[in-house]
Amino acid sequence: MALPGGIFNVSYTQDLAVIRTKPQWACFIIFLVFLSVLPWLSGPYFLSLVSMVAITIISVHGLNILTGYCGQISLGHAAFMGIGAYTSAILVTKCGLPFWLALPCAGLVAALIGIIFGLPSLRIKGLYLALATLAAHYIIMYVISHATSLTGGTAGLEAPRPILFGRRLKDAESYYYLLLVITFLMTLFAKNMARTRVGRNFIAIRDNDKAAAIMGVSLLKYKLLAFAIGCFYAGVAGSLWAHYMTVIDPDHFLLINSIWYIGMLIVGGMGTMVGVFFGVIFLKGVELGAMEFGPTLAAMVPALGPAVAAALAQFLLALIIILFLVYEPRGLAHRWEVLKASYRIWPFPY
Amino acid sequence: MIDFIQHLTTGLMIGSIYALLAVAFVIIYKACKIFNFAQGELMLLGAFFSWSMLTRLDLNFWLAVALTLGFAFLLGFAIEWFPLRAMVGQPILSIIMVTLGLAILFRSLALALFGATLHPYPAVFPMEPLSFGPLTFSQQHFWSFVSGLVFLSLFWLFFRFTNLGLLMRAVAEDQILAKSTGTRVNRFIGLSWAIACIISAIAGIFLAAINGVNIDLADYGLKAIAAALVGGLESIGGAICGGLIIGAAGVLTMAYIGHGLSDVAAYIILVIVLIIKPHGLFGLEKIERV
Repeated sequence: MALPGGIFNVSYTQDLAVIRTKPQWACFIIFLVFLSVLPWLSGPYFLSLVSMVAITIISVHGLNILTGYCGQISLGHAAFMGIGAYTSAILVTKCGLPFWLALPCAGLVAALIGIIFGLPSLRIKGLYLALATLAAHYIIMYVISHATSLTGGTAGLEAPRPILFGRRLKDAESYYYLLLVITFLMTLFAKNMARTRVGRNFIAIRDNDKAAAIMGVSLLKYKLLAFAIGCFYAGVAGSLWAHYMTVIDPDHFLLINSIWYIGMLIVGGMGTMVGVFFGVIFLKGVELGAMEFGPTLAAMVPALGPAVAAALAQFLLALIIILFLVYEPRGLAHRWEVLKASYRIWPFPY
Repeated sequence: MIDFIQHLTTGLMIGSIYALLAVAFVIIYKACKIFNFAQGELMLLGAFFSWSMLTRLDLNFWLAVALTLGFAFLLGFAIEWFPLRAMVGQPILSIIMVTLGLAILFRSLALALFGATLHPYPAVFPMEPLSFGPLTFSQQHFWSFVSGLVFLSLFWLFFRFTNLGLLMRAVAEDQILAKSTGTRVNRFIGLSWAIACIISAIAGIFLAAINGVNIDLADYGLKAIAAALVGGLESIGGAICGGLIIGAAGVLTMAYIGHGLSDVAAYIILVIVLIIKPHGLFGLEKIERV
């Protein structure tokens, strides 16, 4: 990591620190304080948007570990979220488990099923793996919508708001704080995992799996571990989604959601932590703007019909993803690095 | 037994449409190593274009078909020019995401212009079913099967015996070598896209004639990709076989198992084939170098 001018690491702890300088600490603390007072600054609508973004960030962190770091393409991420959501909802409503136990269980079940569908990744990759995960999506969603006695099928399944510390998190504020804490922990874990032996092995596999195997990285272990961790994140995000929405049905976990998650990763920048935040916030923002503007557009151009409002968000998101892939495949994270580098040496050119 | 043969042959007839789409997918893959996830949406655009020619402009059927094929031809060159020319040689995930992005783009365009309702397609074929001994087929299925075969053999003849087809195969074989002999590689890759678009549009017209036009028609595209993979990516014959297998499997599961399993039958077959033969039934085993 490039350091600002005049700052040098003189000890091992300094070299390892995620937040290195005092101004960075100041920014970080100000950001955390801002997030924790956000409920007083904004209305419930904005808070619900931030909650959605937080859940999506957790999910995309998982995809980033699986696709961004380990290079295994998954088009089934939304289905793995669905597994987490249904597991958690069933455990809470039918088995009476408390939420704080159901949440990790949801992650573990999703991880287990992720490992099963990750098994083909040992023999196939690229397009074939993408299609295998696509098949996983359809098979999982088929099972979810047809196992009606367990999941309620298309009628949906109830997932009550969780009870924590003897208090039900009914309002948006309390759930927001829960999401804040979990998102923070999951981000911290992802960030640190990427810097350990595991993360470096993932990167080696992504760059060239044969070469990684020759260097002694066990492909069996690490590819399946990547699927397990990635799907664990998806499961946790699914569980949080279920208890946030309080009613879930198979239509919440569509193939197009998986595509948007990969798109967020691409727009943000694959294999970077900050890219996950950039991508999710940017694409969610565009989606929101399109939703707001859609009815206006439909009113302005009546020839297009009422469906244009629904189509506008999809159109814009797809266009942005294509433009990023053609003109800036490294994503916003790369732009951010360029900006930081030029800011540090300003006013000199280099 | 008669029932079984009836279902099997109906399945093969539906499979011929998958085969057309899978062949289009393989042609593009062979020409420029791009996986076209927008196959179903190209078909959708063809279907909607011919539908609007027929119903909104009241054109004659054959004129509408000719215009649709012309439109598909231009569309193929256009999407090759942007964004797909920039994608040749990019990482696989970028290629997949660009074509998925195109797919959503086209689908949202169709949604904005035509809405999400099912539009009935004007009757092209007579309604009364054809019967061959104990077997009966609807005219749409039968004629789509026959013309599918005709088009596939036409394209085979084109690639096998014409000069243009030979040049296109040369480009597919080795781009640098083709370039050094003075072939305009980009133009031929564009032509491959145009041909793939035309094949998709033909499939789209048949599907529309059978089911009516609707956004969900595009879902056939993903199953066709599954068919191409079952057959093996490098082989056009394999794509045809894969399409027929997927089509037959869909109808047979619908008849004998039910419960909506026919929608996922294609993917279950795909997973089984990928586990047993990772490169498809007729695909080439790739030797990887570090």
